[in-house]
Amino acid sequence: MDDPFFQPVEKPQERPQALTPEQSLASPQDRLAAGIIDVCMVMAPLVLLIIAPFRKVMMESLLIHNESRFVVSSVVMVLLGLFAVWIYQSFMHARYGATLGKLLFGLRVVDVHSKKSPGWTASAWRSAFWLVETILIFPHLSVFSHSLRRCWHDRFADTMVVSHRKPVGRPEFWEKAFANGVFAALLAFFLVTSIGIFKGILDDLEDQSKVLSLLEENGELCSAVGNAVRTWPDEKVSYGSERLSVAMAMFAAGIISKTCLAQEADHLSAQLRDEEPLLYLAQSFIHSGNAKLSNEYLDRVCNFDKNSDSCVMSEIINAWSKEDWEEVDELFSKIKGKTTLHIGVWAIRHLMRQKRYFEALTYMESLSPQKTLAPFFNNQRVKALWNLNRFSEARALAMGSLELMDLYDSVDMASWLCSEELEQGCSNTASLSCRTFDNYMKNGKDLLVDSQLALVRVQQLECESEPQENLERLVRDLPQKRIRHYVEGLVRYLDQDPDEAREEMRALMDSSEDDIKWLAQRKLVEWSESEKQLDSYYSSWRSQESGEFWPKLGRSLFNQYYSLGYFGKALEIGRDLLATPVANADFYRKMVLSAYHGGKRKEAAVLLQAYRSMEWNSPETRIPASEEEFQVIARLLEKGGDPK
Amino acid sequence: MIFPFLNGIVSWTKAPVTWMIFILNALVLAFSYNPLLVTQYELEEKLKDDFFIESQGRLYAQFIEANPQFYSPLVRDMSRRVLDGDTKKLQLLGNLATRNKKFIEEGPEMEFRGDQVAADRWKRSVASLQMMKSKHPSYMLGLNAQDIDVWKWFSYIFVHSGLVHFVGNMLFFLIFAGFLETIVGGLAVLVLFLSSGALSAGFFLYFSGATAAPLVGASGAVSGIMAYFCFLYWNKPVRFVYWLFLPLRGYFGFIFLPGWVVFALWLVSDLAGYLSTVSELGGVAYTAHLGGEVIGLFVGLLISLIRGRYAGAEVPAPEVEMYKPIPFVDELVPKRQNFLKN
Repeated sequence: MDDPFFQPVEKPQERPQALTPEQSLASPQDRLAAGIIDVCMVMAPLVLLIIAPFRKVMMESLLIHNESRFVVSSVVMVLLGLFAVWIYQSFMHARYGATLGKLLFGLRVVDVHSKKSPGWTASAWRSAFWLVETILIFPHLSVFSHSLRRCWHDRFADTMVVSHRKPVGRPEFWEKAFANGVFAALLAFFLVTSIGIFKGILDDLEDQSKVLSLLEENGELCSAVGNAVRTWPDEKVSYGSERLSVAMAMFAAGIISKTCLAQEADHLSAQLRDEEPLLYLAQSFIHSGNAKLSNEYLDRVCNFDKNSDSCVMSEIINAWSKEDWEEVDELFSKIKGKTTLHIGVWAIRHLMRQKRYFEALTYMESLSPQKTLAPFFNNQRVKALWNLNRFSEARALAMGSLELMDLYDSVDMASWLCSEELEQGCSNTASLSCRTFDNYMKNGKDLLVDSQLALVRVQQLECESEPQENLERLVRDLPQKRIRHYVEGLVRYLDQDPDEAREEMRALMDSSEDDIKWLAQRKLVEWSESEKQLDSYYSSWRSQESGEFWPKLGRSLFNQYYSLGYFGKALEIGRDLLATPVANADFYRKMVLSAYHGGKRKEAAVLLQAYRSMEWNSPETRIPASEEEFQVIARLLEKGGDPK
Repeated sequence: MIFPFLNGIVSWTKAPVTWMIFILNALVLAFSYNPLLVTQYELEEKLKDDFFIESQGRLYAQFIEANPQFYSPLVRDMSRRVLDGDTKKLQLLGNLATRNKKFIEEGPEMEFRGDQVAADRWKRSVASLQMMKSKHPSYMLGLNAQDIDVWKWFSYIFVHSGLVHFVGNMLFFLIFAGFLETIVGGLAVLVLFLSSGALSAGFFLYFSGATAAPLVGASGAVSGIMAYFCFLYWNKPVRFVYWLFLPLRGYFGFIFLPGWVVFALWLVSDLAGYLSTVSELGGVAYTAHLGGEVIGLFVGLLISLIRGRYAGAEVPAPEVEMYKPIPFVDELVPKRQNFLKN
């Protein structure tokens, strides 16, 4: 076999001159194949080898987050790679008239005027333009659009590519049309994409709330702890466990997430030289999803000082998880007065959960005020006052706080208060909280993304003068499918199509697992017209008996039985609700009346006595004038007489 | 796409030793595949545990601080950042720690400061990880810094980390070793395969440093075989099959390149890989490949010197037909061995 590798390379000037360049144009396929050979066999290995040390530096910079080094090494790497390709192409074209790939396919680059091998200058320009074309667009596409099959880099450098082996003719019309079509499509694509990107940037800039939520999603929220310690009255809290204590208080108040607390704990954990009980306490919260690990941390907290606040808090958590409320009370009282702020926040949450609103208010007064925690304290105060039936105070405090809160907290507060006002009756739709909430919602449809806010909005629109029209309009803006179905059910009911409406609600009850399921059930209860219908919902309610919404649904059942005059059943349900948060003053009054009308006068007297002893009977409390019947019966019961 | 083809895969009657080695590799894979999958899954599950990895990162940072002389400036810089409270590096440092022999061996005995719950839990997890590793074929037969017994310098050649790894190595092995066996004989192939494998492991341990991650696979040994073949065919045409992504006549078929081009392409590719890899992160054992290539070339040179002839001058004729025509492909495409005459 002949050894092909010892054959001399034919120099371009020695090639036969018989063919004119116009007669020996290189085919686009040969040029493409030559390009592939060049890239795979020469350029890629050459470039990878040359840039290898810089790739390593780039990777190292990435690992240690050295941005300047990363940028410099990346730029050097790209420039060096481009330079290597440029040198290779320039040298081969100037010296041999072709690159390795072109040699294999019998192609040569020639000067378009002299028909000879291009000089060093033309080769250098050709390679430079080829690189630019490669970066911007596929370089071989323009081969179809020129009558001599000259790509743009050929046209810039006054060169053309000829074939010694398989010359082809000038491009056909369809080839040019194809190339021009692809160019036009690419141009259109770039234009549309650019406009889209530009518009997106403008939209984002306009919508400040989107920018804020984006920052929160990216984990920037943790800077909340940094902002808090800067405004904290005690300057020592900037570092170490004091800073973690601030984070713990913010976590307890629901201001920061578990992730944020974990970042603070991780930060401190790496720096600590000794063990820190507060860190163990924080870790037990952070790993609450892993009971074993969380308990390991809790067990460790008391290894140092059994009287420390952290140790007592760990015992409180243990008692809390066992629902041993007496023990929790005892432990909280043990550290009252000298307690750290985060334990104070947990104490308030405990008291609120236990419906001990008056104690919660008193406890809040004993804690030193902090700007960062103000939204939490205000929120709790408003809820405590409201549940104590001190409505005016609650309203005044809530409305006064709105100015000091950020957008999310203020919308949250207004929506909660509005929802509570509407629970009392649709006459409250003109209340300040509902008007404030209305303003927020009219100016920011994006807020409907929050399902809680969306549901309060629905509740608000139900009470307006033309609920049907308003709800139909709202459906279009609601992003959550299930809330849309819920509202559609309400609209159907208002359309005098109760059967369809009930079907819609029943479907939601079967498919949903969240608030909507309970709301749908509540609507079905409210739409019930007979004891038989109510009884089926009553047995379903009785079998569930757990969760946050269970007492609210029970309250609806109680109200419905009461309003239909089934006082015995109302009393039976009411007895189970006495220890729940729905047992407010109005509920007690209805209970007294139910017992009285149901013939249980002794029980009515006991309930009245309990009602009188409740915290809501402070001097500021006033009973709505509409409760005249209650006033009359209450007086009779207290005198021991018969109203008839 | 271009791929060395030579005479394709030589039949087992012409290259019995090559096929024996292949079958041995296949058997080891077959017997180790299930335990490999099971233990690999368990190991990966453990390494996915954020708490474990982050605790390990924090403890590794303390370990590096106590033993800085054993670590590169890059790792020392990362550990310093972690100890200064940079939590972004925790996961990365934790993963790097898994490969560090010294830390895995001495870490469980060390008294760490700070979070003792995390430290105790990590020590228990490392003990269970070591148990898992003792059942993992790559650790049982592979060469790792914790276990460099002489027999492991050979056993690692026959273990592969999965099907793709096995197919990649064995395809090149069957093509090159099969062809070589028809020229130099089975014993020479066997000796070259084992010696290249063992010595490329030495290259790996010397240049890449001892890590707790095991070295497995026949790539070092296959590199030795390929390098020796290239030495024999230094200036002779070596047949490649190519396809230039165009479904047209003339854009796929065979191409003949001299042995030195083949060797240069492999060498450049492995050298580029080695130079661009951060030693703490490397997954491919480029140094083992380079070691195999150097050894294959060295063996070729040594034999030539002993026999008193220069590289590639005379190659014994293979027992099979040199570049036998391939039906269909040869009929369709022109041979390109005379391309330079155009």
